[in-house]
Amino acid sequence: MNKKKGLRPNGAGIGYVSVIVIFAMVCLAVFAVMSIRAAQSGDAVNRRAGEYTAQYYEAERKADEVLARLDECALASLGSEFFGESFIGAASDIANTSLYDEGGNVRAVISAEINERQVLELTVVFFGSPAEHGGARFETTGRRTVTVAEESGGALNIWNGSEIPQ
Amino acid sequence: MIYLKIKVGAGESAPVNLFFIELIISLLFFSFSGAVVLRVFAFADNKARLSGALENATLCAQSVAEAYSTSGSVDNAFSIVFGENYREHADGGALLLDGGCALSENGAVRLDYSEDITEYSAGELRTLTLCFSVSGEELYSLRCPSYVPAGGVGGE
Repeated sequence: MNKKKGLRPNGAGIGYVSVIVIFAMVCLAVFAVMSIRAAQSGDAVNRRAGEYTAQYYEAERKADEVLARLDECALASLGSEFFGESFIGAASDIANTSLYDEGGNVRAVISAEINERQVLELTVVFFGSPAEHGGARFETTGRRTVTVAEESGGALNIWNGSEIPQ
Repeated sequence: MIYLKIKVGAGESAPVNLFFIELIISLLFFSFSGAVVLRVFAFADNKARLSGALENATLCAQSVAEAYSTSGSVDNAFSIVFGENYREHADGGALLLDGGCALSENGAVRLDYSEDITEYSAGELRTLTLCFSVSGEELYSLRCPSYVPAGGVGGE
């Protein structure tokens, strides 16, 4: 009855246990590798988010430093007859800043680099007459992140309707 | 599959299969491999836990930074984020937080904070440094600023 090759006398073959154990171990190993890959990818995403947050607040700190220096210039220019001219003249040597005279007030655009691709742009209006604004010397009117266009390949070349060069 | 006959005595042969020997070897292999696989699972679990703690620390730091940027005061910023009773848990520039960054007396995450003030003629530039650590190992740190003008309040 049990003469067939590979069968024990009671019907159970040798080798089946090994096959099952190896199969189970392969499955467990695959699951283990998948779990570690999932954990690593999640960790990488969280690290990138954390780094970006730190870079953003570092840029904000740099922008606030510039703001403090501009505020010093604004305070010094308040007594002057021509606030705009005096303020812009005093603050002209401050880097990463663009100043615009807006009829009695000065609008300052402060740029601080977040990373090589993004810049934090802070727009602040300095008042020539703080008394009209509840004693406030300035007001922050804009705070945005700007993506820096890459030097090459940043913009698409689109035909503008002119003659096609030969 | 294998079927063996081992000669037991002179002129006699008895079927002795390797079933139990194979079972023992398989169990041995299973236990060794299982130990390795369990270590890998434990490592992945630990990594996922730390990653979750890092994510929570980042969000918590961001909340504190925004509150600090608006209020310009560590006390106000922590009161907004952790609640008024945070002072009861404060231990000389450090707070203990749980995994979800809520105040906890036996928290695993330690938040150390310090404030640095640079004076300008028109105001103060305050910088709050936050450092989250787990078991003495730094998890995340962030420096956030707040400019407080003197004699006038800048608004947004």
